[in-house]
Amino acid sequence: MSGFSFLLPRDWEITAYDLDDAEREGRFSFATEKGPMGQFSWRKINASPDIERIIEEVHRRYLGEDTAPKIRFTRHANGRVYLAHTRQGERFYASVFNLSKMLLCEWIFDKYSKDMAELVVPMLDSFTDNAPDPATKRQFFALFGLEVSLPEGYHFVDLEAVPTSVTMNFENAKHYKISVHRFGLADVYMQGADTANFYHRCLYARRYAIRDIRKLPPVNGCETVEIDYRARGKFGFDFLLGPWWHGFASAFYKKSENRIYAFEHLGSQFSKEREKLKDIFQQKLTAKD
Amino acid sequence: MAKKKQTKPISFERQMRATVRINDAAVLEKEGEDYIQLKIKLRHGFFAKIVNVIWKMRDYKKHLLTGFNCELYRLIKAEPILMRDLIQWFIDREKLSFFEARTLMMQYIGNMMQRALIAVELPPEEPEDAAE
Repeated sequence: MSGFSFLLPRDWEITAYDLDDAEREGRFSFATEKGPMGQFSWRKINASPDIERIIEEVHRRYLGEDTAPKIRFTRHANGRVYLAHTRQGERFYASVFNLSKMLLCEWIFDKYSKDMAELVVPMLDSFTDNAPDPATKRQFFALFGLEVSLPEGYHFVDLEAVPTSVTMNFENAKHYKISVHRFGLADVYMQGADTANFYHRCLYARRYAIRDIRKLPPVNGCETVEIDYRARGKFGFDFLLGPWWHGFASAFYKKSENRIYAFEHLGSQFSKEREKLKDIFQQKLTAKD
Repeated sequence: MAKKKQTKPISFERQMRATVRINDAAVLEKEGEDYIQLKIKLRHGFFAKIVNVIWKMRDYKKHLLTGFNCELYRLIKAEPILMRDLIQWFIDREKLSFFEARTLMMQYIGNMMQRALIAVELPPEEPEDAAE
């Protein structure tokens, strides 16, 4: 997400989320087969926090720990991330402050143990602010297995995550929209049809007017399709007067994962962003299995 | 009004140790390569029994299972299976994550239980279940 990035341990999954106002605050809950692992939350604050004081206060309120020396601190990610724990079996806490975005990010983990600490330390060490890359002018987003690199200027709008279907929506200042999708149970969804047939029906079901479908040569063994479509203008006078906005969609079927990845861009006919979008899924598409 | 008895929530670990088995009362009527038709005897309530004397009501309800439901039923019929093993089978078959497979499988199992085709048997509670 914009403002933070860290690598989750392999078998951790997000089982709950709150992203209603993701730019200001939100949270994720993580769990594995063995049970809940922890929670990550972020919130915008007005001034740089005293993280050590916050940690002491958290422990005082929730664990009844009144004396600071019982809390053991370690620092990670070049000293930015604070990790604090007390007794074995108690919940433990980590925190970091993103100065550029004024975001205070906090983790609360379940049941401290040496094994649990070994699991979370690499995650904390991998923490970055996830700022846009100044060289490529791209912003990277990764959530629920979806990894996308978007042109600068697009901000996160909302997320819809149900089992085997994840959609993330982004928008820029001109209200051009990008939606990215990840479908599981691809063989069930496609019912023997190819990617082009499946995905154009998805767009058609949303009342988009399909203009052109192009099946591309497979990339890294993945069936790939590009689709041009039209939809009514989405904002301001375009919405009132009804000129058609131009859409560009692309989808590919990654057989090794049994997943379909797709994205759609919708913008006015004067938008020149098509070329910037072709490699939106480049990492995923070309990754070795 | 009588207060509804509050049932204790079942721990996650206990759910995973549950055994899924078919309902032996479901009679196999027809079977093909990718479908199974079963019938279950209906149990009429008090007033339905009275009405049944005048108007003959049906005694059986039929269920046709096709596609994945058929495959799932055959898997459970072959041998009662632990919920954890069933979820793992689904993960391996469709390359899903654990929670995706668990959520979807619960829906399939719930649907078949509602139709009285299968039953889920909970194991006895263990000390670690109570601790959660």
